[in-house]
Amino acid sequence: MENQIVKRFAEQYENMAEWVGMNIEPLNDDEYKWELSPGKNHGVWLLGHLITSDDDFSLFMGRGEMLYPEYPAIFGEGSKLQSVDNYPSVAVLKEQWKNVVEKNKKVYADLKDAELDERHGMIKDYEDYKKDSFKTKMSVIMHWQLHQMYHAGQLGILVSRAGKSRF
Amino acid sequence: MADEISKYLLNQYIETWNWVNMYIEPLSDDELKEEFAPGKSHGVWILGHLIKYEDDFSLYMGKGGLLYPEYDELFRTGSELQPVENYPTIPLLRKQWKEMFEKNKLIYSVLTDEELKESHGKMENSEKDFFKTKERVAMFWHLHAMYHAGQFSALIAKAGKTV
Repeated sequence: MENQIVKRFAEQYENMAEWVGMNIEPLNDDEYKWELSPGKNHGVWLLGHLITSDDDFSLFMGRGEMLYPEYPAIFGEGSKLQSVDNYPSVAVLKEQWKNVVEKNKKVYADLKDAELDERHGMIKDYEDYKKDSFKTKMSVIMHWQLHQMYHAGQLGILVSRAGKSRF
Repeated sequence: MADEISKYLLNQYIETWNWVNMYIEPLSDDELKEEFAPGKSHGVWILGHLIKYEDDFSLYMGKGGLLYPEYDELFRTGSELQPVENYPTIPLLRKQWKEMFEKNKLIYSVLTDEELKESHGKMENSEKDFFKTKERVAMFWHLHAMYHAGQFSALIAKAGKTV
């Protein structure tokens, strides 16, 4: 059977996205304003970060552009935390999260096992390759999925605080 | 190529463990006693919970028994949260967490792609079972561990530390 490895990790992606979604959906607009810890990221930034971190997956796989290219500046790693009023609404962000997941399901459907150990799509030359932490498409697949679960755990804390989780 | 999926899962396991550990190591024993939300799990319970599931992995893979069978009652999902004094000491839990990494790396190193397609070793009802195959167990275990890494990160932030 063809592309068995990609199929397995595509399934993992769908399970991951479902799990992350279970931590996105229960929170209301007010609960998204809560900070993880005083002065630390709030729920709105975490949700936007989940979007932008998954949106650039298509670039790394060499399969098209970002849906929301303006988001790395406001939701990327190390971006300056602003008050929630300066970000898109929670309703918009929830919809965009779903759009990115649908986009990436298509990316996975098009990937081939033979390209998994190739350099990922953001490496232009050997100098890039030497400096890059991920190097291959397979490494990006793993790191991107694990990264999303890490932030789902943080959103899960807000869900707990809201009294919407047993744990 | 032989056992490619198993090889990738080993890589993903090592990456996961290192990532989770990066958020456990900086926490002092006192910081691990903190709850991530008022009245919710503390770091000691989360660490024990991760050990319990890592230990369980050998049963699911059909590769041997538990090192700490008593942890099922203490740390399984839904177990009643107790004061940290009622749990094994934090230095012991830290040691056991590292033991799990060694135990499970060995299991991954002998797993074949054919085995990964098989029903997992704790299967009772193949229709109702959520995980079904050994491969799905491995993948869910990695996602699960990362979810809890996010909770440890909140304790790190609470302690005013950065990773």
